[in-house]
Amino acid sequence: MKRFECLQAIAPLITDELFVCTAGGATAEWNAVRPSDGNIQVKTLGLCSSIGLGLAIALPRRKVFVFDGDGALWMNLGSLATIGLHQPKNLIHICWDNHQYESSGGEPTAATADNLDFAGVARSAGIKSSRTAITIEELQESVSHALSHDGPHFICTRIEAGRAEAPPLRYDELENKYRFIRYIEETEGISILRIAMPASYLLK
Amino acid sequence: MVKLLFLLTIGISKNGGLLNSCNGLTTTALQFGIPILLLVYYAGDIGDNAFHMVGLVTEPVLQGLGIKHIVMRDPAKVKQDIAGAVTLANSSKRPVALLLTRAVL
Repeated sequence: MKRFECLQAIAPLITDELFVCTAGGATAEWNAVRPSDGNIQVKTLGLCSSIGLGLAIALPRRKVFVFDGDGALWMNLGSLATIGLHQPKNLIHICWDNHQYESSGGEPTAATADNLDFAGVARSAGIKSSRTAITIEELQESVSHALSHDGPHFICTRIEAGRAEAPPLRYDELENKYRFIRYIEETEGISILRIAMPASYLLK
Repeated sequence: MVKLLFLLTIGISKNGGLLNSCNGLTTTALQFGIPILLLVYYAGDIGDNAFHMVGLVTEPVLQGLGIKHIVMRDPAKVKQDIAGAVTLANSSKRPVALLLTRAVL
């Protein structure tokens, strides 16, 4: 199955969840399917699961999705152990497994050997709700389950290689960051960004 | 009394860990403008008998990354150094590193 079809299939299940999207093709495709200031792009291959974990810990009442890739997850496999350690109930980690580093030219990842069971690794790391989805129906059922049960959840989704035609991201990383923060402030009713008064203004 | 902390991430590592995190610091912390207080044990500093290569490259790497740093050698200045680093990290929206030598630990 194609990643774009998967994204279209799960979009109707989504309401106000936050999305941390990997430095890969999933990001542009997800922003085409579900444009929202609740989507943040990641530029460091592998760090989306760590950033998503931090977000989930900081906002424990908000569901946080991580869209990872198999190449990215390989670069930060230790994050599964950290997620297993912290057990965030609100984290839903989806790995789009296309067996390649698609963004940099399609070089094969170690997963190509087909011996790697990402869901098994995640389960062994303490993420009990770990599944592999190979059909659209399995993916939809897994996401529905994750949205209605405490996590952490990990879903390895096997997809075909190849990107859909999606427009480039509308915002660069800085504008994306600010819009994402403002979106969280508005929807959570909290204040995050504050500008300090210049020191010269402070009363002595 | 100056309010120090409003929103800041704190990273704690040895300088070996700092070197490992260069890509993340560059493409997340610097590229997105994230204030982070980096508390880094300065292994291989003058007087340390191990990790001399890590100690040798630590400050040039920070300089290369454009991350300001303070080498903390004076216990009497610890509070002042931390306060200054936090203020700069928040105002510049960049990481700032405090290199912790044995003298302040």
